[in-house]
Amino acid sequence: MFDLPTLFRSTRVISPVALAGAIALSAGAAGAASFEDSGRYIFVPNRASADVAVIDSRTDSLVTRIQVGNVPHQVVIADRVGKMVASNTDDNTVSIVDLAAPERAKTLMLDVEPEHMELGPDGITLAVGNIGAGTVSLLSLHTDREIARIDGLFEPHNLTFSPDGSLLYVANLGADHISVIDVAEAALISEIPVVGSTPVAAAGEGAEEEYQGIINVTRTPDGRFGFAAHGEGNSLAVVDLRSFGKVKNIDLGELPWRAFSTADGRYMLVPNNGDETVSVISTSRLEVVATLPGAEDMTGVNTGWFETVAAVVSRGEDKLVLIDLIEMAPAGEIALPGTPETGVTTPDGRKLYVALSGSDQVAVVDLKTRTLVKTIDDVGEEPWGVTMAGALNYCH
Amino acid sequence: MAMALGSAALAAGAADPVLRVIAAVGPERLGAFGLSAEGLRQDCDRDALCAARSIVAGDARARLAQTPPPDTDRIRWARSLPSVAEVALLGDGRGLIRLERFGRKAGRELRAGLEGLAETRWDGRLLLDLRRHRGGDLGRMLRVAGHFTGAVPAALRLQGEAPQPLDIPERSWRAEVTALTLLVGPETASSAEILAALLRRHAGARVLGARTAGKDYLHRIVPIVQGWQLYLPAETVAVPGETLAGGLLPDGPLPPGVAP
Repeated sequence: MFDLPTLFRSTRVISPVALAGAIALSAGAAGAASFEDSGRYIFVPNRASADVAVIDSRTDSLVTRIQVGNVPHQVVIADRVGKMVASNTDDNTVSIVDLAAPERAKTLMLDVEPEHMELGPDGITLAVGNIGAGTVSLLSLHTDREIARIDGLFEPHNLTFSPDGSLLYVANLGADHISVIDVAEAALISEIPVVGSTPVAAAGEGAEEEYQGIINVTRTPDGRFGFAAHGEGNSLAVVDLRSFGKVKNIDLGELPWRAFSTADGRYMLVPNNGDETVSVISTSRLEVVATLPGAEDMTGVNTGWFETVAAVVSRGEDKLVLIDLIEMAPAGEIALPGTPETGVTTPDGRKLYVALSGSDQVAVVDLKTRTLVKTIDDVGEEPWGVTMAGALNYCH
Repeated sequence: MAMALGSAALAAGAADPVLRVIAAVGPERLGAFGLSAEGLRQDCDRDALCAARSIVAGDARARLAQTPPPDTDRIRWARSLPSVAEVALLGDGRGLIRLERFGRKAGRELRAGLEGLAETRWDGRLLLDLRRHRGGDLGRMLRVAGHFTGAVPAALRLQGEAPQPLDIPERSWRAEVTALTLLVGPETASSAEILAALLRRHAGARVLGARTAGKDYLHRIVPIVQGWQLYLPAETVAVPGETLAGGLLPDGPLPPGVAP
């Protein structure tokens, strides 16, 4: 049905869709809704209205909203099996929706606060981090069942599969190391240190509430290197994902968020929220090749139009900061009408969709002309992210 | 028993959480807590929390902290807890900023406070009130200091197992004040009193109030299991030209016009 490049399969992470039961199609849905051609649609989890908006990328219009569970955080589109999965953080469940017949949906109870998800390169194995429990669930989207649950994690945040799907790298938000899971054995097999212990000078309680460990392990397309920033440091660790050893540290700006890869894997872009800069790292030279102005509270980076441009999402200033990846120079800004969360670039690199949580909209940006071309209104309450099959999806 | 250390031990921690704790603390340091690696493994089996409690029992300066439940809004930094608790213009034209934490947005809040004061009849004199500040992240404290001092190489020294000088980093903006006064007291602790010492030394600040708490050592955070962190006593901190041990002595009592 879909023949997507393996590169994208392994990184396909969509936003939420929690299914608390029935799927309610809005009045806008025409006839029997079916989204089998999932590569055509944009899926937008809405945290406050507990549903997922479906947007047709051909017309950039809202098609329907699929009701899910409470506080959907992320959605994954498993196009190989024609399913959508949403993590319902507040319900401790995931919803599994058959895209050919959305009224047929299942709800699976997992552990405490399932949040981030990652689809394996087989298109069937789904890893779900239960951030409140310190566990990771492995699901089969053939059987729609939880097949294993691994403990020993520390607030598991984003998850990353190896290219062959045999290993799962877990970013521990509550610790200083990456955990490595053998998927077939469903066992924790190693822990890769990213930084030394964090120094604090506090008497009694006070500092622990803002401890921020590792947000994400962003790997190169060949799976050799992983890039992991530590939220309390000013550096990025480059990790050999095969030997589980740290290769080097790269100094960044202050309070780096996480690395975002260009689609071609040539660069990693890291927003530094402490000093409001963006570090651009060459993955071949493993060094910073540019440090450019960013903005306040950056939550994501999307690239596109033949990887000539990067759009940095600034939640604090309601705008996109553009970077010309050829010149390695600032390329202007695009003001947004609401508070942006995260975005997704279409697989052809032409368009960028950004969820605007403050105004219940999705912004559509033409990455060739670098202009805001449309806003799609009333997509739901507090849209939190956007996901598209075959795209380089990410979550907060 | 020969035990692998460093990253190898950390890797082994995936299978043995107690070994992870031992590696993080350093087997050679366990004696200081009246413990041994073998004894810990025997007593606690694979229970990392048990191992951490044994360490805490051996040193009153160590503590075990339960971390708040993870929350997406918290980790996204957007809703970071406030560091600046109060900004006020006093009757005689002085400005007051009460700093109570070194949160992730402390520098930005400080700048906003100063900009707010600049829009009033503020005369440029600033009282930075640290009397309720119990300390926090060392790196963030140094960044706050940099807004008043600019870059200062080797502004403080860490002494202990890994002695090293630490710099106050250059910042993208400087606090424009005509006179800086720091208000301190017995609750002013740890990195807050270090900040007071640094600003007295390098920003010409006057320190007024009462002797500070005198916590002159760091903790290093060791995650134990989900939801629990061990705060392990680590290096002592020295600010050349200042005495932190026993508490930082102020230059005088609280100034008039300031609430006790």
